[in-house]
Amino acid sequence: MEYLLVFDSTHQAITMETRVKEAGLLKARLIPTPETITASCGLSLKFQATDIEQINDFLQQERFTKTAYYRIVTDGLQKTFEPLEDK
Amino acid sequence: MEKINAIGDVCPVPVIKTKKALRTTDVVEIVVDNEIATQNLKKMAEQLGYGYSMNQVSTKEYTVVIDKNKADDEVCMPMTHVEVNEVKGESYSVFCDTQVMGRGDDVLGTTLMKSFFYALTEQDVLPDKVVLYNGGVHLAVEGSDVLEDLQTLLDKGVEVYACGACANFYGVTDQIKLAEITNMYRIVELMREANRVVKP
Repeated sequence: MEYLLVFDSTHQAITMETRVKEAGLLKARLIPTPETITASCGLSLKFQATDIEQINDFLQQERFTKTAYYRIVTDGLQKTFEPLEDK
Repeated sequence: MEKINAIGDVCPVPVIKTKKALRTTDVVEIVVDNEIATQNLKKMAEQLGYGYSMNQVSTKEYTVVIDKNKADDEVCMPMTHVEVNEVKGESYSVFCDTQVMGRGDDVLGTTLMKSFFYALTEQDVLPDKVVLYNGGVHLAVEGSDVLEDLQTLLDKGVEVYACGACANFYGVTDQIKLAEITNMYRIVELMREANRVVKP
């Protein structure tokens, strides 16, 4: 399963991409935030659900706030995004 | 049959010599010294609907025969997305001359280019072709962040080309992944024939 981390700042998005690359999370990458999610600078980090703890650590270390997690739900050709409340 | 010795000729010359010969004769045998030249000749034969056969004599000698009378039988193929786009008049090709999208900040530009290629894979209408030249060839080099997206595009039938002279200039010819090496004659042709040209 894949998650999305939505940022409200492009600088934060680029910093996080650098952090996850340094950490060797090869499956994580920045993508343009899907249009159905509006509250965003336009960039999101797409990553494997199993990496969420590590990404959460990075977020806390960088003191990034106003970010939001979404779960990517793929149903055939349709992709939807459900907010993750517990993170 | 006309025989052409194109050993030692650089990039587009074997193709030009062959085209010239095909104006007056039906079968042409061309001897070239590198594999990329054979690929270019194959492409040309396919475009013109002529038969193509190649025999590798040694690592520095390849014999190609192009025969006007032996057209490939694989003419009746199901419609590709390219042909469907053509019918709908929505077809376009992407020409990319840089690793960074737009001017201003290159870190941002690199991020934007990655976003561009991701978004390209998600479009309802895919491009017919993606052509990379000058700094754009780096996008198709091993370790590039957009290789995954280029692979997705290839899987969906998009043709990806990289400029051979550019790859050579940057010393990355051996590291080019997924893209077919091409030359300026072909690039100009692709630009000229594109229904619409999209540049990130």
